Amino acid sequence: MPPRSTTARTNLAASMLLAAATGPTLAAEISTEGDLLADIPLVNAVSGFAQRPEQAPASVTIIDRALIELSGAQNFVDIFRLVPGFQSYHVSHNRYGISYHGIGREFANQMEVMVDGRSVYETIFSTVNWGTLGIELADIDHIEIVRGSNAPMQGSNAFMGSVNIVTRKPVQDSGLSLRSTLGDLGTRNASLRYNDSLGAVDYRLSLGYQHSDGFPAVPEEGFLGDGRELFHGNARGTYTPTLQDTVEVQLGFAQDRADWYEGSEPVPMSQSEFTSHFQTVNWTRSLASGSEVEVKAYHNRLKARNFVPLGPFYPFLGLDKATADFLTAVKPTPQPIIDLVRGMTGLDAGNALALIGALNMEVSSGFGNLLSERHDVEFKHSLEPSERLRAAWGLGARRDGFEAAHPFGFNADVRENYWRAFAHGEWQASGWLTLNAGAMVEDTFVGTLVSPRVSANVALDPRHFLRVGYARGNRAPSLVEANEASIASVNGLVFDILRLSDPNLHEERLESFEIAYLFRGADPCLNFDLRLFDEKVSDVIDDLREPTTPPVSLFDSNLRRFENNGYWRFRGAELQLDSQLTDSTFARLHYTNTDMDSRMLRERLPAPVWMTRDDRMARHSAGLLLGQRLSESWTLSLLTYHQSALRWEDGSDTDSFTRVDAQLSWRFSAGHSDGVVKLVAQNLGSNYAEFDPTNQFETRVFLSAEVNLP
Amino acid sequence: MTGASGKATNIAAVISGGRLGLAALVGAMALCLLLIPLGARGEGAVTLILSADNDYYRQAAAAFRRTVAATHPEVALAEGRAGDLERLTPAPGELLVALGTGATGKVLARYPDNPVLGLFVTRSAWRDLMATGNPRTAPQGVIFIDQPIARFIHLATLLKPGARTLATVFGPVSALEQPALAAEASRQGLEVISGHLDSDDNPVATLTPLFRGADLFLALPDQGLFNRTVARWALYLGFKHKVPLVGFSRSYTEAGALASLLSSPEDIGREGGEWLDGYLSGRDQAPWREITPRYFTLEINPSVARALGIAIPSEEALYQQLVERLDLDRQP
Repeated sequence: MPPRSTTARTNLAASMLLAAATGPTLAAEISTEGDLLADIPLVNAVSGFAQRPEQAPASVTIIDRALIELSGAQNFVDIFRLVPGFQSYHVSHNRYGISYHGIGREFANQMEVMVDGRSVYETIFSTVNWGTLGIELADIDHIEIVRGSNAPMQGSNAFMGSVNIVTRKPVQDSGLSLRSTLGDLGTRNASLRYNDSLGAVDYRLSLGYQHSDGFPAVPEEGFLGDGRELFHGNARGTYTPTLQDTVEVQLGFAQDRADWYEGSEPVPMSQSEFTSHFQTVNWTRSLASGSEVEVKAYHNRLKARNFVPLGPFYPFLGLDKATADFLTAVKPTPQPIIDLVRGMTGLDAGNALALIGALNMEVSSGFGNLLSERHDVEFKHSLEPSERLRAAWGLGARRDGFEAAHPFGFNADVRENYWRAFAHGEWQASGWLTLNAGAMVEDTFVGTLVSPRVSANVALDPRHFLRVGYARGNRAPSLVEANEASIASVNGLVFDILRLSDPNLHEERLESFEIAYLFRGADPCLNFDLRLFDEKVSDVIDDLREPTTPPVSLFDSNLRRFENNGYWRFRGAELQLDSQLTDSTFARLHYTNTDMDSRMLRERLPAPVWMTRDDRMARHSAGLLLGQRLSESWTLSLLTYHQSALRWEDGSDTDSFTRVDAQLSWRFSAGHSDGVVKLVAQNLGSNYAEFDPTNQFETRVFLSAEVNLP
Repeated sequence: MTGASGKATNIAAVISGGRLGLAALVGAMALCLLLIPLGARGEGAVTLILSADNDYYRQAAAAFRRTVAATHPEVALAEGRAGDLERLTPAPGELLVALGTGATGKVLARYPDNPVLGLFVTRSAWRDLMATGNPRTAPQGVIFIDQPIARFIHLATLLKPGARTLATVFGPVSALEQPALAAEASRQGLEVISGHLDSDDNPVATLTPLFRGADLFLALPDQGLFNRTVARWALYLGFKHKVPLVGFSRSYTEAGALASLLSSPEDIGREGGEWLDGYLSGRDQAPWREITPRYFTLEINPSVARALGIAIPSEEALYQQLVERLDLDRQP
């Protein structure tokens, strides 16, 4: 939070209370032309108040429920392939990497993801753990995607872009819905949703189960074992006690048993378990003349467990069982044995004794026990000070923490507090010119970060719009990036240092310039959005390989030190076009062309080694979705997606691919009930690989059915 | 979402110009008296005063100018803003045309000796201005922005020909329309299910029962907070119960209403210009009255129609059907 005097805070709190208490009165019995002509909210995620996309300071993609259904998407990777500028991939079958203008990392760390305004960016993994979001795709109403830095509105984690997944409100559905999907990869998914009201509270209960065996077996590697078994549930309640007040409560849990491996480490898949739960409460009060006050508080907690049993320790030292038994046969260890080990290893007496004590210990690798927790509260006031000025401002506080515990690895217990303040305004300077300006100020453990954004939006005529925008973003390191100390130790003796954080780690910096053109056509309904961008990211947190000198080096002699040593520049263009061509035909097209320039310091000693990562982002990606309603009941859709070849960071080289998906759906109704049956075939062609050649995406077929009972 | 408007000349009140009776003669003399001040500024002068520099006021002003230029090119049109009235010095008796409630209220109060026509004003706001305003020596009139209830009911029956039940919710302003709505709905064979919503009421609890069993929901314009809240929940409930919603603004249709009936800025400006023509030419013998707008714009949302499985004609065809229905309605 920016420095503020106590008095200022008190006055601010008082004004908030005043604003909240002075609700509107309807006693005047007058409405004016402004009441009739007022806009109904369209896009909220960019500036914190409702804007039309053509007046927003950044490019926005809305993926609504109808589009998700038409696309045949089976998971979030499929959904984000509908969005230009996104790199969306399977790290393994059960782990997703989804980023906007990022390199193909195992842990995509520069994009904020929210579910109903609740951040699900996990500081322990520096990314989103998509498996434990705890929502079904069918629960999604729409997704607001800000393409470009949204740090000015949503803070550090929205450095390159942001996603807000808006789930359906309980009042939108009724009765019982049952859904099931069966298909290749041993897919067995089932879910139910029940909507009803209890007194004046509308509520929804959802339960889901997902099972998959993972990617198919590949030659030499065999079966990868990257499947999952996932249970999740959530409850949501909406209470509208008065015309101006809305209170929403959400609770959820998820348990994901998913085999895990680190893409950057040559270790096999191992059993892991992730359990999460969250609680959210949100109060909104609508005030007169379009103002709105919102208070939101939530809590996330994620526990993860992953131990890979490795057996006794002595084989890792190149010893056989007989030697280990000999060295440990007598206790306490005689001095000659200690001296022998000292002679063999060069260790001092204490470490030699520790080494002997470790020889027969059952050791394990893996990330161990992890706990990540977040408490967040935010106040926001959106207002219309005049007919030409709209604004929003807010204050927030967050407490993030994580614990790591592993008898042979990473141990940490870190808590940090963050404060934030933001303000955004949209001024309609004239009939053709709209100006946007806003900024976020965050108080973080690396200092006070200021992320501003300005744009000028020009309406050339009622259908053609231009936007010129400039933004600067700052991203504080995640807690784990700043506190990494991953070591391999047994019996207190460090055998390898895997990863360390630079003690001087600071924020990443972004400077972004864009020009956008938007077209809104009416007949046929057609929306076109072109974005030209130039984004410079400096002080990128990346890993420097550095020689280490642990007492005994078992694995390699290098550690990965996280420091601000990278520079990326993305230049290019992306476009999206969607059109309802006829009453029964829909088309959506997107294309991205990105030129990446980069350099990072890979090694400092003995001589600096610089490397580039220019090939880590696909130069071309494109998608075309066509939907054709064949009759009242039948709909056919085809989705083609192309991505050029790239070298995945933390993964391997993969070739370009073009994938074609098809879906045939049949809607039916019987009495007051209805439903839909879908047959989905993904990748109607030869296999392709993503992230790693072992991730072989073959042709997959799924059959799903949904029944809605009143 | 598209719109159709501006072809409603056949439903316009046709002012008889063939009979020059005593009333017409008196009216013409009165008009001449009123026009004397205009004549003092040459060919005549009218000042347009906008409540603010917003698109919709500017568009209405532009439509007004176009209409006046076509019918009375001799009229000198000046323009000002309500926030800058001290810079306006209208001649005594000069006609002032105010766009918006803010401008109308200020002009009525500041220039009691100038005739005033208010445009872009709701019935409730006009009622309030008349009740609270100071005495005036010059006449005033208004063309309302509100569309009459009968048009909404006709539109509803065109959208769902078999509809039997119409649901709506009244707020503090729209409650005054309840008797008119009940009478018109009854006349057209519709049953009305309605609720009342005040600031202390639960909107979802009030609206939910209205959607059960309704064939169509009619959103009536009211105060901003009421409109926003009803829109938010009624659109959700409409999709849930597959009940189409008829609204009163372009943004209502964009947000998910099946159709909206509204006075566009072009409709308002054009009708204001035609009023001026009638006033200056003497064809309108009683210009200083409260006028229900004769022009309207129809907006439909084909995506909503598809989503709700409702077959509706094209916007043009639906507009024409509505015009014909209203013409029929006007016949004795």
